[in-house]
Amino acid sequence: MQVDESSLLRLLADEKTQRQGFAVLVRTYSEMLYRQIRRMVLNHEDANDILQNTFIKAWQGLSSFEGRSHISSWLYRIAINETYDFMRKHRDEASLSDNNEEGVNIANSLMADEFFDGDETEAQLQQIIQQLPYVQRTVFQLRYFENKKYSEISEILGTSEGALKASYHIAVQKITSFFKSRD
Amino acid sequence: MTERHLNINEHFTIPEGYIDTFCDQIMDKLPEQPFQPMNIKQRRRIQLAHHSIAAAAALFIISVGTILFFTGSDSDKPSEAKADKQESYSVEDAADYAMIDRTKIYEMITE
Repeated sequence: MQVDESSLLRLLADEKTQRQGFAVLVRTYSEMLYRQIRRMVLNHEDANDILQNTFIKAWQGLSSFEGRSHISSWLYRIAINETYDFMRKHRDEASLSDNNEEGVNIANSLMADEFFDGDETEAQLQQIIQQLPYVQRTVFQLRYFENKKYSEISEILGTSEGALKASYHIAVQKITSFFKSRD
Repeated sequence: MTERHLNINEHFTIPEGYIDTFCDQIMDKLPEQPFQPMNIKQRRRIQLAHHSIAAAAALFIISVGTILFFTGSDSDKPSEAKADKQESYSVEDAADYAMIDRTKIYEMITE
């Protein structure tokens, strides 16, 4: 995705063009953020709600963006935090209603989802990813699906590259051992 | 895209026209709010600092290289040995962290 970040920052920093600049920002980064949120929560409706909250938070917190990171990293950070909040709330609700079978049925739900076109193995991969702790899951998704560098992930998550490498390594071990035991 | 060729994607599809519709909807939903002043000067300062550091490092490397080039060659062998050692450390270190790449993970799970 190529966007002239300096021009976008100029639009956002000017009172007369701030809203116009934000429209450019939404159009530029929506798909990228949607994909990350979607692979974290799996279904389209939840991803849509979280994406809306992400941009509303970003709009309300524009003055908190100091330019220490790229705009994309700042937005990723907001989106991932919003998603974590959603997942925590969802997990608490699920444990209150004693609905613990959900994790087991992720692959089946995906296979029935009209907006998922993978096969059974890919659905199982998504299921095992969902069983990883939040940070391992996020690091794995950003590396494996987005092919992001550790330096970029570090900018997004505010975690050292060493810790990210360790998280990725553990996630890969868990995933590969799951598939080996399946065979 | 390489991911498409390797089939490394998450297989989540986006409803047709969703992104365009979303962009219009979210702009309508944004609450009216006073102008949010942004402090982006800091970034320019950081970028300037990075450029200065890079220039200083380049100058240092050129200076050291020039000095080494014009001084005696007696120290060549120890330097090479040191470089070899450093290189093997780097390779081992990289191997630790390279782990299994995306393609291998994909191959493993689709075998």
